[in-house]
Amino acid sequence: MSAILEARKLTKAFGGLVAVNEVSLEIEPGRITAIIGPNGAGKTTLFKMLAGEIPPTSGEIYFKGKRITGLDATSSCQLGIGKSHQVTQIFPSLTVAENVMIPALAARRGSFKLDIFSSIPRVDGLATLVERTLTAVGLMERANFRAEDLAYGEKRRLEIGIALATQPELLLLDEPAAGMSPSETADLVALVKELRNSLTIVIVEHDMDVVFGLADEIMVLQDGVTIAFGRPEDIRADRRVREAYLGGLESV
Amino acid sequence: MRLGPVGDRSGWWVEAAIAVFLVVFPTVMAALGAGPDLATRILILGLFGLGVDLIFGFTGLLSFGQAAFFGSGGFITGYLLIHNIVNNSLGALAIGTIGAAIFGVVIGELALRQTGVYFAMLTLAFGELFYFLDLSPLRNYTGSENGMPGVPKPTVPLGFTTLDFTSNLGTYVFVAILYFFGFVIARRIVRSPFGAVLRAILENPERAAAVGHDVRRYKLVVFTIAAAYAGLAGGLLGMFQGYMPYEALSIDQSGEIIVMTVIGGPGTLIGPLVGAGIWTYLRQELQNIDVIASIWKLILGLVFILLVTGFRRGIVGGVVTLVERRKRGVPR
Repeated sequence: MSAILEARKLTKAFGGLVAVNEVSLEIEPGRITAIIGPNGAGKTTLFKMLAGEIPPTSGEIYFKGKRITGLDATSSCQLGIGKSHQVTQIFPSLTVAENVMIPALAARRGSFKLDIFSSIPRVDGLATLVERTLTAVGLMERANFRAEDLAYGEKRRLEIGIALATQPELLLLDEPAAGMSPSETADLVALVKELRNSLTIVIVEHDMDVVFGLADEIMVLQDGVTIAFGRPEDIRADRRVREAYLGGLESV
Repeated sequence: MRLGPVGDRSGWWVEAAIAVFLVVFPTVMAALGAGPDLATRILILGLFGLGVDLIFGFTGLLSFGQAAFFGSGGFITGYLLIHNIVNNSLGALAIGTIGAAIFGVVIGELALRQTGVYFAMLTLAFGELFYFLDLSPLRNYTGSENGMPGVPKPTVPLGFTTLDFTSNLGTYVFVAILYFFGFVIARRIVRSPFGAVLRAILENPERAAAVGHDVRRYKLVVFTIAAAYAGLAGGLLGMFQGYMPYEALSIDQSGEIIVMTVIGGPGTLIGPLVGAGIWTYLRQELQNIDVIASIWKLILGLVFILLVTGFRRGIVGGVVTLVERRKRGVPR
């Protein structure tokens, strides 16, 4: 099977600091891939490059066989790469339904449309997409709440909902469980498991229960370099990984 | 699920209320001791302010250069009419409006490469550029400090007859009709899917771009629409006053329209009209009182500070908040 996303020797240097150093990866469609590594390993930088938020210093990115290196976030999103952010990025004074409607408008209308004399109910398939997304992230009952009034865990789910409503084929989740309580985390794992049926997912996460509970494959980064890539059981057994990262959690 | 316009749940009664208001406004002004002229001036500024509200109140773009479009629209319209190049007031206004919109595309394309304060500074610089172009290189066309005298009052030749709006009340009617169309169009824009994206840009431009909206293109289009509103209002100013003043291009003019929008309530469309009404009325009344005639700007400044600190969402925004709170407070 051919990869939906492929990165070849991606490098990002900030001045003299090389945050990501010739990292290559291939993501097979329909799988959940987790990227782990200690703080400062370059996970978030790698993610930002994959989503088009920052251009790589060198290297290439291909999405569905098409070269997308240097494409901005708007175009990447229109092609089918959705991203939920580490820090919640919502539209605070809009309602929950409106928050999901904004990305749904981009999915249904494209990156720009001069429909100044049209109306929102006339946008084809918009209401269905908003409804489906709210149901998926369990926020249907909160549809008419102002987004800023939601509880923290609900805001995190809305964050994922906003990414989902762009109708991505590839979903990038940047630390979705950050700051969540154990029960909220359990809900999140159930949600992502639900999503895997229709999407390819790449997840950056510190919570090892989430990572090992979800991932088909795990990539381990350290100091901007891939030190391991494989199935969870292999990663767990990998000596270098244990020394670099898991060592702090389990005694070797 | 029923989805409606973002952040605007009021129905068509708003348009109806505006229509009623436009009909009674001259009578109300007469009761306050002012003629239809003051009402006309307020509507022209309200029309100018509709564009400012679209970019500032709905999209979050603060431009200090709107006078460039107000003035250039006015000078183009005036020039066409004075030199009999176009003898239909509506035709001249249309060309002036399109002219201002073209300047809007050019300035927008350049200024929107920056965001926030840097965008505001660029618009300020372009505003000043237009001001000096008017005063010096183009003085043979614009009359420099003397302005452009002899702009005819509005008339619309239809072939078989000519609609005459040359009386004071006639000019009011002409301006009021255009204001009404301007208001209806602005409200449609705000309530459209396009308008929903503008609101998203106001709330969180980075996320709006990240979910797949071409934010810069949306900004450029709404900036151009605002320039068109300014140009139309400028054209009307020349007709109404019978001459086009160079001050229409000044930084004072750019600043005043923002102040009016902020006083009235940004993001409400009606706000700029209310702000223009209060500002213009106070200014005229204060100038008529001997003791304070020389310090009227100081008093207006204080009123501005009081209104902005008291009503952070402007007068209209404040009223809307009060009504919503009361609605929520009363159990069904």
